[in-house]
Amino acid sequence: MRVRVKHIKIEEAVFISHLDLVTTMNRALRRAEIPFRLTEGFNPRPRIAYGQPLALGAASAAEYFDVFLQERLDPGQIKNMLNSALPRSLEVSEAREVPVKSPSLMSLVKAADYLLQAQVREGGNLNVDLMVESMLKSESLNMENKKGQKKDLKKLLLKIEWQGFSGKLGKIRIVGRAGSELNLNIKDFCQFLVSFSGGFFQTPCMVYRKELYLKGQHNLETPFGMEVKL
Amino acid sequence: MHYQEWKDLYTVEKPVRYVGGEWNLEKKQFDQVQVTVAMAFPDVYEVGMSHLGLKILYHLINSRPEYACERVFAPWPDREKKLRDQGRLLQTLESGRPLKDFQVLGFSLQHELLYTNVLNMLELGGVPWRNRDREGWPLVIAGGPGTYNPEPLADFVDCFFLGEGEEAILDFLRVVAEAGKNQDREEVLQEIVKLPGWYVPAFYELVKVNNFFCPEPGKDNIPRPVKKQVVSSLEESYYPHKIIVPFTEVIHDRISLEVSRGCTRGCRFCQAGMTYRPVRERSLETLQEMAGELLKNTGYDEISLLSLSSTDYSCIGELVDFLLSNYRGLGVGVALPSLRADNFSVEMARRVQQVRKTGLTFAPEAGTQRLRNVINKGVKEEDLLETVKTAFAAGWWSVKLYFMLGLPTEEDEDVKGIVELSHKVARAGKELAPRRPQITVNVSTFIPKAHTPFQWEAFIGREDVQRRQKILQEGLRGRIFRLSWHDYNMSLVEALLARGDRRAGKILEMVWQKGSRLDSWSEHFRPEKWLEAIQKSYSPELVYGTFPTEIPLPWSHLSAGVSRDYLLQERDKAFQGCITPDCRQGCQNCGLCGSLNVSMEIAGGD
Repeated sequence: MRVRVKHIKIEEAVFISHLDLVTTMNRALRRAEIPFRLTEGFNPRPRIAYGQPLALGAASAAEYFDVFLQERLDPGQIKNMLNSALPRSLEVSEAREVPVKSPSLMSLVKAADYLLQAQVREGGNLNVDLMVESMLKSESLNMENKKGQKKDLKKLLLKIEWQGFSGKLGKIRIVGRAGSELNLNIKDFCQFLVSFSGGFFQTPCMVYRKELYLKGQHNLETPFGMEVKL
Repeated sequence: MHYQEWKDLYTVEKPVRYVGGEWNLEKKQFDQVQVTVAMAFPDVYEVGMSHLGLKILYHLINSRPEYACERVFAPWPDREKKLRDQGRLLQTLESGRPLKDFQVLGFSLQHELLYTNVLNMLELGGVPWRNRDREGWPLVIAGGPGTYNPEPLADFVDCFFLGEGEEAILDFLRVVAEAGKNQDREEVLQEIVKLPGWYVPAFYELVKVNNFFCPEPGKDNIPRPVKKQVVSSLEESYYPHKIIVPFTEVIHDRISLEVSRGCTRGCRFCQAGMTYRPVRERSLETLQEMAGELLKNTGYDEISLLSLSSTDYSCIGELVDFLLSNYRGLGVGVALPSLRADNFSVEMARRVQQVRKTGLTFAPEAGTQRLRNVINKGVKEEDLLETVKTAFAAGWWSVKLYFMLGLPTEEDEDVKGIVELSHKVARAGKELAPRRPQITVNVSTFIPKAHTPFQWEAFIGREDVQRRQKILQEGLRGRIFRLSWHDYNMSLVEALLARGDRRAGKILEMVWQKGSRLDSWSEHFRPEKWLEAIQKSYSPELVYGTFPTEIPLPWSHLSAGVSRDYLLQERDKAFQGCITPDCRQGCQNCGLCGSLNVSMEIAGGD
C-alpha cells in the first residue's frame, strides 16, 4: 500500500534541513510503529519519498511525502498514529492512499505556491501594484544569484499577487514553477525582489509554502487530486 | 514566530542548534516547581547532545515533579556576536529564560579545552563569572572528569561534585529546595559541603607547598579528602526510558545503551580507567528491556553498546544476538564503539556488521612491547596481528590504529615501533583484505592526568614531539596509510589545565578575556594567546615538569577512591616494565572498593 502524507513545517521546525527532515520523519514512522517497507542495501530505511525539498528557514502548510506499507491501514489511522509521534511543529494534516504504481511525487511536481513576507525600508514609498504590473509586463526578468548564475525568472513565474501589509511586513503571493525541469528557486526570487523594488523590500524575506501542485490531466492539481486554476 | 526572532535565527549558521522543540523534551511551568536547573554543556549543541550523562541527569531531574531542568549549549561565535550586539542574554532551549534566572546552573566538564566556554557562558547568561562576585542565585555547580582536578575553575564554580551524579543530584536538589528562594548563599553552601562528594572551594584555604598551591580545609568539619561518589549498583540505578531526539544530526546520533561502567584493565595513563572504578554491569534482562523502550520512544535505528570496553561485558554475545534477532528485521543496527584487539571482538564486530559495514578501530597505544608493558596496555603484537588478519579475512579493509606520543620512558625507538607495527598491519591487509587496505594511524599526545599512576610524570616538549612526528611522517608514506595527530598546542593547553593549580585559572580567565573560546575547534583555537599568557605569568615547570611524589599535589584534597600507595606502586611497576593483571582475574588491591564500600558487579555471575 502506498500512502501520501501531508504535513506542516512551522515554528522551530522551519530550521530543520531537508536531509534532517527525512531522518526526523523516518524516526517518527518508527515511533508510530507504522508498518513501513524498508529500502534495500546496507542501510535499510523506511521507504519514503518527498515531493519537493523546502529551503532552510521556510515554513510550509504543504509538505508531502509518500510512504510504502507492508499491510493495508486506514489512512486516517496513519495520520493519527503519526501525530502521536510528531512534534506539533510537524503535524500531519492529511493522509490518503495513492496507487502503488503511480509515478513518484517528485517527478510530478510542477509548481509551488508561496507567501513571501518582507520588511520594507523605513520611510520608503513604492506603488507595489505598479511594480507587480511591470514585472508581469516585462519580457524577461534577468538576475544573477549569489552563486553567480545568470537566470531569467520570467519563464519560471506563473503568478504574482500583492497582498498588502501586515504590520511592517509586505506580503506577496508567488506561484512559481517547481520540479526537475523548470524550478523557481525562491531565494533567487527574494533577492530579485529586493533589487527590482530598488531596495524597498529587504532581505531576508520569510517564506511560507502554501501548496504544491502536480501535473494533472488538464490543469495543475494538488497532490490529493484537486484541480486548480491559477 | 515573529519576524525579528526568525531573522536572528535565519542569519546564523545552523539555527537548529538554538531552537529546541525536539521530541521527548521536557517543559515545565516554573511556578509549579521548587528548584529550576539549567544544565549547561560547554560545547555546541551537536557535541552536547551526544553526551549520555547529560541525558541521564536531564530526564532524572525532570522525572521529579518538584524540579525542572532545561538545557543550554555554547553558542557559535556568530550567535554570540548577535546576543552581545543586541544586549540579549544566553538562554535555555526549553523556556528561553536567561541563565541568571535559574537557581542552579550545572556545567559538565568533559575535557580541559571546554573551560573557556564555561566562563563565556556564565557571562553571556548574565551571571558574574567569578564566584566571589555572585550574590543570591544561581549556584554554579560542575561535574564530570574535569572535577578530578578542579583547581583551574575553583574561582568560578561554587561547588564541584566528584563522581556519578544519579543519586547525589537529588540529595543536592533537596538541600537547595529546603534553602528556599531567598536563602543566603553562604548558608546553602554550608549545607552542601556536608553532602558526600562535594568540594566547595570557598571553605578551603590555599597552602603553598613547594611549587604548588594546594587547598586545605579552612576550618573544622570540612572534608579532606572529598571522596568521589558512585552508584553502588548500575543495575538498580536510574536510566531514562526516553531520551531527546535532536532535529539535526549530532555527533553520536544513536541510542547509547550503557552496558557497563568502569574498566578492569588498569591502563596506567587512563583517567577514566582509574576514576570510573569499580566495574558494574547491567543484567541482560535489564538491557533488553532498556533497548526495547528506547527504540520505541525515540525511533532511532541504531544502538551503540556503550562501555569503556564493550566486549568485556560478560553477556555481550547474548545481548548482541538478542538485539540482532529482534530488531534487525526493522533495519536497526548495533554498534560496538570500543573493541579489544582479540578474535572475540572481531567475531562480535562481524556479527553486528551484517547490517552495516564500517572500519574497525584498535588502540595498541604504543609501538613496542616494552612501552606497552610500561603503560599496562595488555596487547601483544602477535594478538593484534592475528586479530587484524581475522578482520581482513572476514572482509574488512579499513583499520584504524590509535597510538600516543610522549608516554613516560618513550624513546624514538618506540615511535619507530609504531611505524613497524603499522607496516605489519598493512602487509597483512595486502595479503588478506578484499581490496587495497586503508590503515589510519591516529596519534594523540599523552597528557598526565590527576588520580592516575602517571600523574607525576612529565608532559612531552615541543621539539621531542616534532622529531617523533617526523619519524612517523617519513615512515608511513604511501597511499595505504593515513596519518593524523592531535594538535600539539591543544595538548599543551590540556596539560596546563589537567594538572594546574589555582594560578592556571588566572591564565584561563586572562585568555578568555582576550577572546579565546571554543578552543577544541581548530578554526577558533588561538594558541598564541595561551602561549603568551603561560610565558608571562606561569611557570613552565608546572606544565611540563615531573612532579615530586613526596609532597601534596593541587588535587590531593580529593579522592577518586584508588589509594595513593596503589598509584605509586603502579608507577614503580611501570618503570620496571611489570604488568598488573586485569582485576577480573583477582583483586589488585587498589583500595577503592574498601574505601567507597562498593564491589564489582558482574552480570554473568562469576
